[in-house]
Amino acid sequence: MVSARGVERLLSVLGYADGESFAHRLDPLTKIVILSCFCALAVLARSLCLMLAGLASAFILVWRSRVGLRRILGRLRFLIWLLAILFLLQVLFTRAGRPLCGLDLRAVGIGADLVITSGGLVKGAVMASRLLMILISSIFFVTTTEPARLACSLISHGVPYRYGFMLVLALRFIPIFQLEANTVRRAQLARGLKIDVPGPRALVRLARYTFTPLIVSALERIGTISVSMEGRGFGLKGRRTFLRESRLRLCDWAVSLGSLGIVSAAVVLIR
Amino acid sequence: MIDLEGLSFRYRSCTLPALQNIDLRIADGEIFLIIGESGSGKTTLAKIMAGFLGPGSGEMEGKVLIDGVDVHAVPRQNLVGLVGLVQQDPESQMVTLNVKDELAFGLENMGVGRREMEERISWALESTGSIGLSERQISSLSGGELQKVAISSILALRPKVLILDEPTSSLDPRSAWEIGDVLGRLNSQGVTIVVIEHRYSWIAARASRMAVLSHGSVSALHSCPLIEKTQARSAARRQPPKTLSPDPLLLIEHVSFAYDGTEVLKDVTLDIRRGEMVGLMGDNGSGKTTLLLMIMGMLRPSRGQVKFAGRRVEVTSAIAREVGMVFQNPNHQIFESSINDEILFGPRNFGIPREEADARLSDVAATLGLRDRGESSPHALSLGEKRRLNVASVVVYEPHLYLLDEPFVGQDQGNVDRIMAIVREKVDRGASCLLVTHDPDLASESCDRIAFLKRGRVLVQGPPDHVFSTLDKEDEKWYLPEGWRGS
Repeated sequence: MVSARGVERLLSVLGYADGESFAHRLDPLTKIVILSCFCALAVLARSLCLMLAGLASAFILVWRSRVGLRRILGRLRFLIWLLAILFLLQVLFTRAGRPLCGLDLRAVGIGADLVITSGGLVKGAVMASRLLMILISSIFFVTTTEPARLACSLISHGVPYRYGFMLVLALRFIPIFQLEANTVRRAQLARGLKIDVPGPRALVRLARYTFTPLIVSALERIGTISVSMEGRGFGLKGRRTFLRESRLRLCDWAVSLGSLGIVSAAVVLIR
Repeated sequence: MIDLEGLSFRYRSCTLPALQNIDLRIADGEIFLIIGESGSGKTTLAKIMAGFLGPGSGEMEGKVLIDGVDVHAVPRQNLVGLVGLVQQDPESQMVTLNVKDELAFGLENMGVGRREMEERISWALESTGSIGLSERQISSLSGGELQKVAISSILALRPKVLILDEPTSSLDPRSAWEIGDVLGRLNSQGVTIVVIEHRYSWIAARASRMAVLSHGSVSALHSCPLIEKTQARSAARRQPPKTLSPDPLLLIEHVSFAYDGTEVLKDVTLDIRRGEMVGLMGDNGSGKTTLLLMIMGMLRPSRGQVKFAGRRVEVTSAIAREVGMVFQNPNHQIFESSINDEILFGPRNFGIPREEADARLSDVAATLGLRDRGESSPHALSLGEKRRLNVASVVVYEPHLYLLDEPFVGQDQGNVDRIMAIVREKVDRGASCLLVTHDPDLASESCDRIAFLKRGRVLVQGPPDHVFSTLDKEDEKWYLPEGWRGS
């Protein structure tokens, strides 16, 4: 089981990592295109070779972005178990392909044979690679994209300001709520609340004692934020100006079109 | 310039008025101080003066005129260049992710051009001495830095009047005095400043006048500079316990701790004996809360060990019954829907018999002034009452060691006295207390020993006189009690 502190540390590692790499300089919109290409490849590709090529590309992108690949992978160790389970399930239950080995389970009271096939191995590897590719490409996006620049880019490219601002507010306060949830958890422990008691009643009790303080705290923050926003003219009628503006450069167009072209060709030709 | 004419206000949900018949005139270029106990109407007055509360939010009589403009006769957004309000909690006021965007937010809303925006941002940051923060992420700022950015973000809009509601309540003394310097600089540039505070020594010398608010009315008007009187909290300094047990109740041995590679505590050694009250002081971020969490077994030291009653602290559940901790934010530690249930939350979890718990509840609630409201919702309490409830919820199960993490933030003297009285009583009866505080006067009067943390290390520890003498030599003048300052 992953501890709350473990999740907190994982999230701190998976945030934006300041840098000057080529990936950092790309417009966030371009990186959304790259991420979408990887996700499309993960969903559409059936060939193990294509999947492994995509996975290798995703790893190279994170490595070249100099965001601490080794540190990130260290924090993702628990996911190896998830990938292993996914792989094993496919190996055990896929019957297609050439049988490689078998085991008669009738002797231990299970009325079926266990047959491991070449199809099962390939499907297991494809499924595990699919999940890993989505994960690594998401890490690439999150660690190289400054949230404020992301919001600015979205607004500059047509997303209404209020929605872009909602994204900024969410990014601003989610870590604070995470820290608050941690403090609430510590306050519960300090006053003797046991959380490892099994059963639905204990779970409901725990949820109540966790959400009540968090909601009260959030409501207080909302009051402060609205005074802060109103006091600085939020919603003032007239044209809003922007300190930052985001424009797609030639390299952004080249990378976006290149990614779309390569992935489309690969999926159509190899799949 | 600011005229309050016969101002009265009552919230819709309340029967009693929050403000009653206030007449006040604040001249251009003044630094005007408003003080008063918790619940006297200070924040309500600040919000009304800044136009955030008005006839739409309750029953209001009278007028607030700033530069001849009735602030309730125009939409709030149109007051941006006239009056700005800096609120108590700087962190919650920030709506963007980095400092420059935070300052640009208001200017963008007003439609200011990019070149002028850049100029105003630089000017505002320079005025508050925070130009070095311009490229920083909001999440990386300290409490003092956050407050300077909050002031800058209002200042960039060039308001004629700046109102600050308890701007230093969560800051360490060094940061509070720095904010005082910032306000002095702004005032010399012609900004009229209204400061609302409980503890005001950091601004008293700069203020021109001071109003005392009591039960919603101005009860006194003084000329400044005023020296903040440390009220006769206790007739005399706490007498040290006559005999101390040779074995420490809590022993912290060469403890170090790092968050993701950053060392927060470095080789900290400290002990507390039965019947001792020990003060823990130091700047925001010096490692005080981390040390408390480590004592509770919520963080594990990277080096060294923490022992409670001779046993190494491994998990919280093993010591929770004997070590009671009051956390900083009152809302994070209120779980139940009535005050009585909240006080009984700990005793129920620890399996204290019902009759015994009820008897203790009655005593504790009476001492902390919560008895008559036992069935009310704790969330309807004022900040001061919530703080008393937090303390009551721990005192009721009578732990051997109390860990109090800045329990007096935003509290008036009456609340401080009430909480200290019950903690002192427990300590006099043999319990121990580690009190995190930014108040040197309180530490000097109430603590048998003080430990001062600086950047994660114990700079000095010992009896108060020894500690303050060392802090004086180390030029930590912000942490000296009134008697030491200027001596």
